[in-house]
Amino acid sequence: MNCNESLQIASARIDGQVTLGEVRALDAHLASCEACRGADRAMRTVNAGFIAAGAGPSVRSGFKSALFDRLDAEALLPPRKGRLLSFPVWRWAAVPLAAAAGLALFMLVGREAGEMRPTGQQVARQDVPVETIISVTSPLTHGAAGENGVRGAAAVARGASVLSPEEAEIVANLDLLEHPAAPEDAPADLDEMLTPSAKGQG
Amino acid sequence: MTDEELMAAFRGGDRDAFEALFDRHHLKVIRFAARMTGDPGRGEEAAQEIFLRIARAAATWEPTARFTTWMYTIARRTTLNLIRDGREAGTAVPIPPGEEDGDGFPLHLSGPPALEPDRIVSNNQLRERLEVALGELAEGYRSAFVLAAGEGLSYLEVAEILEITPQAVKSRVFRAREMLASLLSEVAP
Repeated sequence: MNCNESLQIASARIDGQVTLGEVRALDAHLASCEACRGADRAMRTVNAGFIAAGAGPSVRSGFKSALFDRLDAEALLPPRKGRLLSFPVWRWAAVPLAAAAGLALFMLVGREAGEMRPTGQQVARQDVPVETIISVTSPLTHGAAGENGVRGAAAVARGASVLSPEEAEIVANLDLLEHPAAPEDAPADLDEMLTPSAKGQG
Repeated sequence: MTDEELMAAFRGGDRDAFEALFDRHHLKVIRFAARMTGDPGRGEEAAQEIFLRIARAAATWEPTARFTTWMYTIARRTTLNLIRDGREAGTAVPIPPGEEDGDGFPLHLSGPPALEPDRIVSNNQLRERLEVALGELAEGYRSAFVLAAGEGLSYLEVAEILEITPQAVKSRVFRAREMLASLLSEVAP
């Protein structure tokens, strides 16, 4: 390896562009050549100074905005997206739909709330046995309107365990009350009345 | 995302992708242009023009090409145009015939004792001299040296940008270092 070849490799080594074999050959040459050792150090020094001098270039403020203004002026970039404009079209379409859905939900809930608004009878229903509720809502009770209904509701409100004798009689004759025509066929005595199916079976 | 993915996204209409590429590479481009022109102010001017050209030429970018190689190719051409436009004819320094292959004349270097890195960096006169010395190199040497030593590109990438062989790059970078060392040793105290 002559001096010119060794210095080319020395230069390439600074750039990290050498093979292991080249490095070994270079080091062997430099060990025996004072001039090449000096040239190698000089090249390294120049390189270090060059890199240090150009490190971290300063950029004036406004450089980027000036460039992007030029790019926009030439229409080289897609349009800048503003916050409002960047809202996708499909999302804009969703706004009235969401409003309509909200309104419909409000109306539905409002109507159900109106239907669920507790009346005297409905409040009572929450705490009474099913049988008692049937008695309150039976045709007789509704048909009687006024006094019977109110009284029935009052009885229900008090609970099934505190029925007055009159109310107890109504409950006991529930079938009879729900079928007004029944008394014509009704049995004469109480036993027959309590076992209406026995007659048919007989 | 890689540079190539960002470039593809930009071509697909993504403005942010271009901005990401700018943020990632603008300092390199400014530094390269400043070194090539020897003037930081002109380096910024060149960098603006380089990014404009990148945006204009986006449609011609081949997805198989490495973005930085393509970017430096544009950067070099743009910078050379600016240098050419800004100076008088006759100041260009051509590469002497026969020197390209590395068989040129050997330079006699004055040796390293006067050229310690700290002294070069801290001495404004030497830093200015370095810029001047770089400007005195033939453009072929300067480009190869700035790309390889300054930007850290491989000889293969530099070869692609300059459209020469990797061996020619190796030779040019070596010659550039020799000449710079010689020029700087003349002013070292």
